Amino acid sequence: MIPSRMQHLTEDQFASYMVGDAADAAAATHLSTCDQCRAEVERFGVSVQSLNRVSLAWSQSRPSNSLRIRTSSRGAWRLHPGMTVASWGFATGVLLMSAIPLARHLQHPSADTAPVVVSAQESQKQIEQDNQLLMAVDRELSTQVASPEQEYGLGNELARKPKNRELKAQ
Amino acid sequence: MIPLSCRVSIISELDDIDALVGLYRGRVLRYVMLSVGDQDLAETITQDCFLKAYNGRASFRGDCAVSTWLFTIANNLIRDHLRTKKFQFWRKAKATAIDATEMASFLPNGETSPETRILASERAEQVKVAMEKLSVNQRRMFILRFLEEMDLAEIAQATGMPVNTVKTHLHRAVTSIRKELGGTR
Repeated sequence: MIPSRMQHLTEDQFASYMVGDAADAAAATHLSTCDQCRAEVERFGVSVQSLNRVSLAWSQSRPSNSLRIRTSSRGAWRLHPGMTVASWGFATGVLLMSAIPLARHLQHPSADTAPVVVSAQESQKQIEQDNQLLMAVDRELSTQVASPEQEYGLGNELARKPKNRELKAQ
Repeated sequence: MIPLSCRVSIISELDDIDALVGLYRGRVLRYVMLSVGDQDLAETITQDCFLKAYNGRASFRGDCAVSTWLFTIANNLIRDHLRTKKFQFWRKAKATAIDATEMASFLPNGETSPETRILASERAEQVKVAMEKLSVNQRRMFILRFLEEMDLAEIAQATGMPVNTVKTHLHRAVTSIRKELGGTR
């Protein structure tokens, strides 16, 4: 229902107009002719616009930290699919470079690194040499070495002197 | 449907997170701040919003504006926070709530006279106080319609609600705010 100039907009019509409901376009017709309703709409608009400006000025003045660092550790591989292929290729190359020489080495071991195989005869000879050396050492250690008492003839003199305790007792 | 060339430019725009933040952070932060009423929580939700958007940029189909998509993500995060006890605590504490007078101090000096600043601050505070009496849904719709100037279809998309539900919330919000502002009728 279109209100007459004197009836003004109802609360519902006002709200519908402000919300932007196209179905209530009749309200626009009334506003074009009614100064009082138009002033009401403008007053509402100015108040809301004030909050709009003030709040945006506040939010835009708020400092923000760069989020690039927080995102760089995640999703980097997803960002560049080519990097994923390249990294897999590099890893395969390194694996091949180390695997091929290893396989060759196992097939044909070099003289330097080949394990030493000692024959039974040589082994027996070595054992005999070791035994002779051990016996020589043993002989050297077991020979009698003169004690300092014997070497300087101190043993007899000490035996002849009476002990201090015995003298005091007498 | 957005043309392919536009989609390519939007997707490349999303690849630079700092540029994305530079373009939209102010609007998203304001929206979240006025929705939840807490500055610290708003900063956290806004940061999460941009990280979520960046990490999920491959899922952006380009069938809406980037800002609408960001508000959708912000709405989901706000909804998640509304369910937590942490939010209940913040709402009770309101330790870091900011009033319009403080907001007005950030208006550029060169553009506004002190009188204009005071007047704007008073009007803004009246609307802000009136908005705080709305339900969370009414408040979100109101911000998107009158501060973000989104149309009804965009709001429906950003909030995941049918257009008629959006209309109903907005209708009640406008009526309530007009009553608080002291409408002449």
